[in-house]
Amino acid sequence: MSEHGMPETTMEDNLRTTAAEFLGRTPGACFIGYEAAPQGGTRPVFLRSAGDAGRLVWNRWCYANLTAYLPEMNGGEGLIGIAVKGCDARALRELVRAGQIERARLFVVGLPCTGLSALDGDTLAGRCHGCMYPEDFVYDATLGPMETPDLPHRADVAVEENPAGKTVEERRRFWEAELDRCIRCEACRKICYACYCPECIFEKTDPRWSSRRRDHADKFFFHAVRAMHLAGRCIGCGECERACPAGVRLMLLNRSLQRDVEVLFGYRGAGVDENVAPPLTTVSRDDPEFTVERTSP
Amino acid sequence: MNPGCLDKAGIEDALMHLAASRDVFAPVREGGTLEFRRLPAGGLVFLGPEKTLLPLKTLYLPMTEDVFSRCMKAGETGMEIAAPMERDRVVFGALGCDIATLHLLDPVLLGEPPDEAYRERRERTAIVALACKGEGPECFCSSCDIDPACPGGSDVVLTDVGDAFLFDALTEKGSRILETLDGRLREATDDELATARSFDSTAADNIPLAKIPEDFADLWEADLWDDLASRCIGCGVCTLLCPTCYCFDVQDEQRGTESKRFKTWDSCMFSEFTRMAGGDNPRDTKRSRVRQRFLHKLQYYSSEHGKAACVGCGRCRVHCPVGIGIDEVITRLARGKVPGEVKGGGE
Amino acid sequence: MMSKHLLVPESAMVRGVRDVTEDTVLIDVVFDEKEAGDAFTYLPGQFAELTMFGVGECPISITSTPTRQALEFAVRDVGNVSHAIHNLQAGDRLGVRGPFGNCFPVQDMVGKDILFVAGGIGLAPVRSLINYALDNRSEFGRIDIVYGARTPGLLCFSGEYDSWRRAPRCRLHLTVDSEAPGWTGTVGFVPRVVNDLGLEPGGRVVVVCGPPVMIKFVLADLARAGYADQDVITTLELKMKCGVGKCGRCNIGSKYVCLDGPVFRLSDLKALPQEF
Repeated sequence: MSEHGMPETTMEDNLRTTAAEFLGRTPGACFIGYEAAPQGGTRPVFLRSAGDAGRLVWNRWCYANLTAYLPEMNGGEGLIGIAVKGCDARALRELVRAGQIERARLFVVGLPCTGLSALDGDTLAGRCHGCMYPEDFVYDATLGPMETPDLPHRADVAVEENPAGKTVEERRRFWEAELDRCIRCEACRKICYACYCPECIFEKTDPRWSSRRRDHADKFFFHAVRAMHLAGRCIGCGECERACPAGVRLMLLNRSLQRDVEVLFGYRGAGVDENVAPPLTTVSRDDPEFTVERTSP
Repeated sequence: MNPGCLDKAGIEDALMHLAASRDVFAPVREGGTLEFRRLPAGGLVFLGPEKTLLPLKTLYLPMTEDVFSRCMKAGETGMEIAAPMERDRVVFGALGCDIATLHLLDPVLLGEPPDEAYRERRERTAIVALACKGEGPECFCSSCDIDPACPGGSDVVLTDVGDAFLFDALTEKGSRILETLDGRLREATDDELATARSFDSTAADNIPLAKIPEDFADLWEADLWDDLASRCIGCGVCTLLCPTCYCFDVQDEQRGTESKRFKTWDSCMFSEFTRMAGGDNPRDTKRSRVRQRFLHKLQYYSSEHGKAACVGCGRCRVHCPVGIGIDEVITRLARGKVPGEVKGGGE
Repeated sequence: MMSKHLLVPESAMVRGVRDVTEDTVLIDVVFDEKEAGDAFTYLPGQFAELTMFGVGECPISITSTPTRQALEFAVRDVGNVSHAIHNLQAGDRLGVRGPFGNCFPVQDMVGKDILFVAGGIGLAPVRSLINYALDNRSEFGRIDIVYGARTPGLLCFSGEYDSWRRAPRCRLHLTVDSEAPGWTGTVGFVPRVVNDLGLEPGGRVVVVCGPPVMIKFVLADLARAGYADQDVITTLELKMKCGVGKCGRCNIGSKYVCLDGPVFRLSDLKALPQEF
């Protein structure tokens, strides 16, 4: 039974019916959801015909943030149905705000999520601690009430239990060891909803900003730059860490910056409030750093 | 006389003894991942049927490999060429899937003109394989003509027979390794021999590699590519962890007055792989890159060298963030010319 | 291949640099070591990887002919490395690896008439074959050269045109895409000029090299005029790095442009995945 009192199989049936109806009445549309992966767990699926809706599933292993597929589809044709959990809906809000996808093209189905399972067992996934749904988000359909569930709010690891250590020297050694495992696949970047630049700075060859040498300096540069570019926009979905084949604990970096943005700007988090954009993506005349000098009367 | 056995309690000591005369590499668990490391290493040596994250190719085609360096001061012309290795090496605990890849890399890297660094590493590295049953759910080495219980291409095969490892030398190089360990090996018991003989592969042997159509034209427009490309995020983890992938990039960099050329792993899945100066890119869609990856591995390579370049290790499937596995692709491609066969989930 | 290691170039010196068009330079290089120079034997159609130390390497067709002394490359400024090449001066050093690739099938062209069709910088590898053929004049039949560029300023190797016109049984047809001040020659796209010549196949071999869109139209017209696919030869341009079929980048089907190309007969090209 889900927390909302409805058996999950009913929610899954509703999801399939909703998707089938959407596809049936909307020629040329696609529906992005989750299906069972042959090796266990789930994986994204793109459906184009109502008859395939039976492939959809909704369970505690639906990790992927499907909104990450949307920026590439921007400017295309046809409606897009998409299943979103609470965290994913926050990402969706930010993508629409940033002009990365038109809201009018989307048919958003809200999945009332009460927490995902950790990859290696039944306990709550680390990323779900501190879950926060977007406020006043308008879904086109929901499988139940879309409200922040009552989940344990783990003390912020970045500050309280930071395994990286307290001193700069400790942290430097920690990240050297951690990033030793990094193979610069950049899966973390490619799975992240917020990394939507058509040509990432790390793909540029003229000029080449980052070496592919895979020295520690290059790897740290990559991760530090990405973390900075994400600051304020990260929704804490943890997909980067899940995608990383080497188990680099990227969320430590991202959570740390998220906390800094919270403290410095009083910002509750990306996609939570419709009216408040991520602080580092806006400029306001009230910003203390913003001074306008008149050079002529 | 029965083959030699070494009790597990004595393994680390034996490895360190070997390390006196050559570089010894073994799987070591450190920071949560299992990797081949040169001993002595920080973590624990693990000899078991668990695949390292990075495959054995890492020891023959390093992730980053210096080629030469050159002083950039005016008038200087000399180039200092990097030496591939110092001491002879032995790799312990390699699994059948990984070892088989060397026979798939050889035709490319030793083909005229040969990659001399690769050749030296091949010649001066002894391989002590670990017999394996291919028990992982992702394993399908048996579909790729590989016997994990007695891996071809090894110099010695170790079989776990309970409290000890049975050592079986298959080549001259292997015999020399055993000679170095002389005095530490005892004769195997009959029970231990029986255990070794009962090592059978349980890896999936029904993945139809051989049934993939021989003409790429039959596969070119398959709907499969759209299906995969819609999910694929282009991270390239499949290619980086694939034991048989060998694509590399060559970069020159200057720091201060020294310029260096190095090779580094690259991937056909990266969008800039085939992008030319000036911006033209014949594979500028994810669909074309996904198609290239699978057709190259399963069809183009096969038509050139007689065998598909897959060893059934399943690393791609385990680590793909969006659940794409080459075993599923092989099964779907082997259905032949019929396009648009997307039916059901994950068949 | 001189060097023990695949990716290590031979050191060479720039003997001369001159502008060939507004965006292309011609460099003439000589190896530092005599053995390297002696070992660098090539045929028209092949290419080399030129190293600008500290910057990188790029593949450039050899534009000189092996029947003459100089080793020449024509380089257009399109990226990091080619830009660095444009800043070279006589006396500067660079690296050369090669020669790589296959060559024009000159043996099969002996005794036949040849039609050369080139556009823009595409003339660079073709020039090698034109001069090779003219240096071995008696081996080949009549030669027609159709060469065009967008503007007169982009016509390459203008210093050679007179020698081509004067060579026996050799005709040169130059054209530019549109009218230009001071230009009194033919105006029209290369494919149209080729058509207007109305040359019958009759065993003639055609060598086509230039921008993809030009090639596309020329090939279509040649097919209509009855030229057999194996008598039409072109070059493929793809990103290449190692030059020896190992880095994987120039792989098309079961071929590698750096090993099985860059020269391809149309019949071979049609058998490849159409991804270039």
